[in-house]
Amino acid sequence: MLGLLLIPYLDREEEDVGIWFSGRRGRRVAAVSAVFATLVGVGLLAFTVKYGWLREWLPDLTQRYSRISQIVIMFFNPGMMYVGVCAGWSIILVRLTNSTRMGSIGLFTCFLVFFVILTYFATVHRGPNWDFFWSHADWPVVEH
Amino acid sequence: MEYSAMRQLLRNTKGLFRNFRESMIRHGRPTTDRARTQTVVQNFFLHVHSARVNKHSLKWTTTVGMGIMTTALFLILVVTGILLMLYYKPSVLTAYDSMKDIHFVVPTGRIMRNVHRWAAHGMVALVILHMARVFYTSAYKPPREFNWVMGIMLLVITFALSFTGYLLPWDQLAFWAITIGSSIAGSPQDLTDALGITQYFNPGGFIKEGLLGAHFVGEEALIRFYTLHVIILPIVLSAILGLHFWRIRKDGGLARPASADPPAPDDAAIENFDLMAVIYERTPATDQEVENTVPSWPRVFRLEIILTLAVLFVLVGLSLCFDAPLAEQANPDVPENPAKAPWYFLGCQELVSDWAFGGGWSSLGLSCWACF
Repeated sequence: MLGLLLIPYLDREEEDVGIWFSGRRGRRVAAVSAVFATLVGVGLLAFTVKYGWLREWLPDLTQRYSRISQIVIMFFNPGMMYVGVCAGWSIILVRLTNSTRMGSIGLFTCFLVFFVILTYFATVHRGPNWDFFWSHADWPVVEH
Repeated sequence: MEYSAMRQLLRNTKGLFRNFRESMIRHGRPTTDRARTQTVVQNFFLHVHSARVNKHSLKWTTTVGMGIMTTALFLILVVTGILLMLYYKPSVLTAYDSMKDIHFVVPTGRIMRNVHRWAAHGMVALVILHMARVFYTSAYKPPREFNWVMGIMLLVITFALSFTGYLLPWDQLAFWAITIGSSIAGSPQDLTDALGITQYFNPGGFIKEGLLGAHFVGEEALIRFYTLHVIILPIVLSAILGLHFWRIRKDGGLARPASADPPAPDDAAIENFDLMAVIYERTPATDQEVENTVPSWPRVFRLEIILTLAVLFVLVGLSLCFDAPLAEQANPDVPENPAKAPWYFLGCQELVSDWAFGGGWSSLGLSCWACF
């Protein structure tokens, strides 16, 4: 939210106000960013569902050096990976287009796409014990 | 003399409706631009609009009407919320029963509750889309920066309103969604636990207890959520919403491309003066030539009424087809599996559940990076 609040004070380019995506170049940037974010978002989710993450890979580490490993697990996570990739993407866009506006369009689009993907994924594909299911019909049935 | 007084009384009686209307509205049917302007300026409710708007603002593609539709949803929520308040009893013992009464016993209670529920979800979705529209059209650029800030505040308050209302039915769905939501709010404690400093510095616990009034969702949480939902947050939202609208006017109307304001002739600065004819020049507030504008009455108001009716039509349709969910009464001993937060926090839940507190940091980091 703080990031959102600061947008107008950090992006001071005044061209193309009132024009959707600031013109044709912005539309292209938004479209490519949406595809990019979809691939990264879905890819990371698929990876974590199939292979897990640090906690599953290094169970010994979490037991031996509990405090350090907890901090590592907290900060080195798929969400952070996503932020890193998107930040890199944004920097590439700024360098390629020489425009902070294009960089911010790319990143805002990634943010929205990621929000939609995560919301959809948690709504449809998460079931009992927060496990992955293709649909609600696959949920285990407990008979009393 | 007596006869004349009687005739006068008769005439007054016949003109009762017209006199009443004129005392209230102060002008006749607006047939000229001047009268249309007076219609807006002299009316308390219409005065929030500028007297004239740029032609570009009326194009469908400028805003897709999302601001108007969001406001319409808020008004619908206020009306249906007040009606629901007449029957709702905010207590752990009675809340669920009163919800069932509203749903099954109170005349039109069911549709009121359905409309309220779908309008709440719609408002959250539309506020997000409205924010995206403002971002993608660069409508946050000077002089509209502060209005963007107020818009973000409205977004947060809308989330808070929806979140606090989520608990009120006091069913399993609500209870466990709020339990999850408050755990997400308290997730900074994961970090302080890992660092071993929770006993000295515990912002997560402070936020969670401040929200719930206890360590768990119970009577204290219900009262807090109810007070926030029906009094504090609507008042704050209304105040900021008023300021948001006022700033739209004072910042020169909706953001528009330079092509929507073709250059004025050299003497335009002399001819163009402020509405009140006090400032004898182009006004900084509007900074637009009258040639590019049209009176707000009736175009803007017609659009507003059409969009409001469309929103209401969709809501009533949805409410007739789909009931707002009402699960079994909340039972703290029987957790829902899976327990899911309200849909707009499900992304956060996905991040936090699998990826711990870092997920929250990721969201924050991503938002910050969006600035650049």
